[in-house]
Amino acid sequence: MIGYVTLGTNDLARAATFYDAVAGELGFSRMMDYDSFIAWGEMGGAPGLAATKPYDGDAASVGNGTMVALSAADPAQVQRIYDIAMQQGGSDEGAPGARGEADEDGNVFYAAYFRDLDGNKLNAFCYDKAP
Amino acid sequence: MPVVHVTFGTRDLARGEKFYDAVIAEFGGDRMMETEKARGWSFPDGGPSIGITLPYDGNESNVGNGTMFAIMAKDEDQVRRVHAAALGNGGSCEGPPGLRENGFYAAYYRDPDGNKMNTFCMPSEG
Repeated sequence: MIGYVTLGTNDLARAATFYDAVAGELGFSRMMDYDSFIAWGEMGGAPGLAATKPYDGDAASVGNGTMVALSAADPAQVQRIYDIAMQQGGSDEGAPGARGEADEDGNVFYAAYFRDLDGNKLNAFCYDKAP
Repeated sequence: MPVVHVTFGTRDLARGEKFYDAVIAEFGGDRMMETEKARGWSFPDGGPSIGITLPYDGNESNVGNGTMFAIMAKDEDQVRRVHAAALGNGGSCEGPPGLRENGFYAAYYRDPDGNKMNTFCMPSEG
């Protein structure tokens, strides 16, 4: 089971502000808080998502192909998460909307794609009726 | 956090799937997704699935410094087996199995594309 994932940052305080806001919308807060590493989640519970200064002391960078996907409750929350990410200085990688075809129950993959201030790619998605 | 899926980029899906088939098998997991551009694996005890993908933008994949996916093991023996499976299937060592300052027993490794991972557990008594 994946216990936690880390994303590199070159400005931990800036990343913390961004992820405090995104995590807050999802009902989570910081579970670990160190000089070089802050993690959001729940000890012994949901996986941690951490922003970290790289272990090797070099600058953080972004992996092309790397993405962390967050589950949202419904399309409205996908929209709120995306809006928060934009308000916090994140960048757009694909506005909230349905992707692909609906299944026989009318549910569709509804997602928004964005990057944090270091350029790490995330999405928020749900399977639900398109709004 | 409600992380449900994580992906790393790969330049070689066939090479990557051999690595992840072997590593995830040590956890009892299976390949659950296979498309033209991506593969995904799930874990029997739940939690986020893990995947590799040819990048969406069509450019070559690369590795993020500071990016790491950490997989929880049930015990130290499983940490060692996972590390061995990684190194035996095209991965590289980034820190051998052992106790770490943070209190975990952990091993660090990279997949064949250089993406960093670890496997960890609480140390056994004594």
